[in-house]
Amino acid sequence: MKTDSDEFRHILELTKAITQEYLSQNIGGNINYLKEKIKDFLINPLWNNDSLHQLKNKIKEFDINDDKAIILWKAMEETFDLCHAQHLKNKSHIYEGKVRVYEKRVIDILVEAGKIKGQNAVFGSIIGYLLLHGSLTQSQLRELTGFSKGAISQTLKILSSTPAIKKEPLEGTREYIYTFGANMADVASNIGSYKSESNELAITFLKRKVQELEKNKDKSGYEILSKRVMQMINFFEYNVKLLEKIKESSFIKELKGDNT
Amino acid sequence: MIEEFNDEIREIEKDIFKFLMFYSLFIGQKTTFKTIKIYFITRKSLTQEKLQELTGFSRGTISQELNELISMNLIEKTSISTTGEITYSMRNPIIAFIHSFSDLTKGISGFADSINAIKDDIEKEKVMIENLHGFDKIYQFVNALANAVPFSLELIKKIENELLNYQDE
Repeated sequence: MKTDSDEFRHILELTKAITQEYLSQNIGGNINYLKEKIKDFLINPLWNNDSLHQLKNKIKEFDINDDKAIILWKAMEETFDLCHAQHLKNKSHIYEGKVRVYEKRVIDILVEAGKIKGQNAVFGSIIGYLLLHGSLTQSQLRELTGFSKGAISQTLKILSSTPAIKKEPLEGTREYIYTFGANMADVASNIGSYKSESNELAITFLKRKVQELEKNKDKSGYEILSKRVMQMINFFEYNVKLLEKIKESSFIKELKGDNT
Repeated sequence: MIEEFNDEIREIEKDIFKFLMFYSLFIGQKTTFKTIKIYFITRKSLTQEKLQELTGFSRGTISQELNELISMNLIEKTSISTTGEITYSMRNPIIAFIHSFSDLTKGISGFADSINAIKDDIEKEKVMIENLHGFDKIYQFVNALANAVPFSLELIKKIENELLNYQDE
């Protein structure tokens, strides 16, 4: 260890001087407190800022008394807060402190819910953040989700082809802003995969298959497959009627808040 | 006796199979389970051997999925041949659709528990965090979801009951 001590001799002398100075000025001074502060000062990049040293020198030059120090600190605090508010305005998509923890929890359960319907995590996260924030750009979504540019871009491409997501150019930039089209009432009343459109789509498709089957009446398998297809068509038709009935019910009107 | 499908009929069945593989209520289900279920939708009655020929899955996988389908009351054993081969049948294809609808209800119930837990935690901390940026958005969103879930569940229950009546008809 001798070599190390020689190598660091100058640093250790400075350490000794600082420690002695601290202990002489602070009777019963806490040595661990000093160690912590010095360590933070040396390794935290925050203290590498040149302006910080200029600030310290400037305040020293003023040689202010205690009362003035309180006034100065108050003014400085206002400046801190103003800068923070401006930062938040520029980064309005980044929520503050503990709110971000809750935001993450909400996103996690939306992603899980999406998985039930077969959506992957990127898909679920993007929908979740758009639902929460309303509108976001691709780079904001990247910052929020942590997913790669490629993954986000690919998913946004798929989502933009659906009527649920609106894609508009962001004025003064080369970016686009994505907005989730549906409002909360729609989301709340969404029975998702059971919408009448998906039933109607199934009916159209299956009816086409019935026509194809009709051309093969004498073939083996015709009877059983046509019977099964007809049973499905009847069922989907029943669903369409059922959903219409439900849509007109006071229950749904109450849910959508338009029962006035 | 399991009826063979002629080539033309088989092609039509393949189209229906593809359509049902992507049918929204079936999304998220295990591929092997979904594949076998869809063949019961189109064919009504099948043996393990026929399923192996249609799907290419191992006997073990087929046997496992058949047991799963039986435990869900989606299919039943309808006959055993003299050689001991069992025929399984799905009485009506709509059973498969109604069953997937119940899965959706279960999914929403789990979602409801999670969202209510978040809502309770936020309420406990509200005083400390209500001035933080983004709080209002999260608070409103969580409350809107928590309020909507009972309605959604009620709605799904209504549909499910109607469907069960349909099944009985």
